[in-house]
Amino acid sequence: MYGDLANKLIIEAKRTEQLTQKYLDAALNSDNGGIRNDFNGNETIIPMYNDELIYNILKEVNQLKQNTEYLQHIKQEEEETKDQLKDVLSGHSNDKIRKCQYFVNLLCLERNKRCLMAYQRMRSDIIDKMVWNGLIGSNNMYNNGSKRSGYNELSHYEQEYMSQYKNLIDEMNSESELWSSIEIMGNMNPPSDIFIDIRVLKDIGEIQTEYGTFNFVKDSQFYVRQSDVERLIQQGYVQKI
Amino acid sequence: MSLDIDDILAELDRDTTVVDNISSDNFPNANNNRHKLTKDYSLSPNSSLDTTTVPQHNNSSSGKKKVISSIEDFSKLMTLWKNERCSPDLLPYPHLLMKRMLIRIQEQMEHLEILSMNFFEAQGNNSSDNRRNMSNAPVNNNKMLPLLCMEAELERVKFVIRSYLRCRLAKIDKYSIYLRQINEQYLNEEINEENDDDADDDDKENPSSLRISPLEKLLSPEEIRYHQSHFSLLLNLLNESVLKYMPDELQAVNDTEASINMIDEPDYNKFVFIKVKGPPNNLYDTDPLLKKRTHPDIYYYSITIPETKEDIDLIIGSIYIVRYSLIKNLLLDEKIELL
Repeated sequence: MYGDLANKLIIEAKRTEQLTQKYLDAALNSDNGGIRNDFNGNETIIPMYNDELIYNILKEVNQLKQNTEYLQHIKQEEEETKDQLKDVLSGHSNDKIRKCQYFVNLLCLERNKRCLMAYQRMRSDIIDKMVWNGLIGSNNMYNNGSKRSGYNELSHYEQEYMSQYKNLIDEMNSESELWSSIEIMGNMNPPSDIFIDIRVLKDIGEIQTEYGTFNFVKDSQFYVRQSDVERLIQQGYVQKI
Repeated sequence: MSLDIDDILAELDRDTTVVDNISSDNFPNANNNRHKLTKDYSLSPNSSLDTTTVPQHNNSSSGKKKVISSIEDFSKLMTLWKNERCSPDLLPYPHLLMKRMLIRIQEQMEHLEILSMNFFEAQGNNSSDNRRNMSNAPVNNNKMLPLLCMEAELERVKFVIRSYLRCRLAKIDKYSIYLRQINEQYLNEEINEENDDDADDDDKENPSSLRISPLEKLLSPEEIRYHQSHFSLLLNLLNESVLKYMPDELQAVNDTEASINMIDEPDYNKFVFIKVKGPPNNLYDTDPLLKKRTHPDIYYYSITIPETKEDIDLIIGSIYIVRYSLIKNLLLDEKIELL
């Protein structure tokens, strides 16, 4: 039936929303260093772009469009021949049925459009959140060493959108004095300790801070200022303990 | 400069725990006091850490003749932050306040850097002079404490601004089409007015180019840029993945003619908690909206619920739950605040 496919899409969108919400919440609230711990290369934040379903819905849209055109065409023809057809009664009821058919088709079209838009908007919102939460570094930073390259679960246009959006944020971050001085990408939890204990998860090398230079070797522990290592925590290089 | 980082860090550890105990007891008060304390420091960059009382008046950061103290700014910021987070609508951007806050933060950061450099130099000298004599540690601790307080305070102010701006950005994203529509409406009106102006050339005193568009009042330049760029990115994505496959008549993204409005609008009927503050500086007589009930003396604002034609008296100092649309104007005039 028309609209069933779109319904499927919406159900999927809803499930996606719940799933990602869990991950993003974990990323936002976790005090122990980002979501990298419970989130390995196999799991993904955002499910696969449902190419097939989208394609089928778009096919349905085409079908519906053809239906409406056909119905309009018939109606026009009927109107032209109306004068010759004097049977008012049957003509009237036919007209009503056609109108109803036409309307149903139109509503299905509209609904499909809304569902597709909602699906895409939901995904783009998730991408936005991923960008803001620093889950997207440069590609090699994110899950380096795993077999995944890039973001396979995103569609081509979504990948484009993601990198453009990230560029936008980075650009604004570096150009706006206010944004950079308050570290707008920083932690959204109220600060409690200025200094925290961290454990280094991956070799990074030397980090220069106000309080001297640290050599961040894997598995070493440091007591450092939180704002100095905020980005490293987000990117999963170090862990708060 | 030889620094034993572990020693310093160990000391820092003790200090932060002390600070934490203070702040967790009574957060808002402690924060305010500390704010005052540290801002005093910031105003006297040359004085040593031991002098605490410095008059607030030598504040050069605000460009106005009237000096606005950093405490006032801070409490204003806190109010704005709360309002923004509680209101369904996007509230106007405080251009001047944010400029002042930026200057203050930068000054404070520089000041802190100088202070901590001095401190570490002193510490480095001390520790190299009397390496064996460990009795100098408590002295360092005492000196370190204000520094830590200032740093914690700076982090908190930064957090509030960050949270405030991010909250605004989230709203901008959510209502991006709606905001665009407001702007387009305004631009259309302006074009019409300009045409009118051309008709009669007498009215040249108020050139429309000088007027500020509603969007410019509502958003900061950064937010406007963000809004436009993000919207065009999003539109591009939607176009490429969905809209271009749609029949021609369904390709618009701001579809209002369909059976359901597709533009997200702020929910002006949302219920909000408000606290009635009254006019600024308690100038009760100058506020025309304010009504007075004698016996006992009570000042209140009167609002009417349109559906039930019921009057509500918003008495100053009390807390109410009302629909946002009813109190929007009072909120914009800063006569109430959201909770």
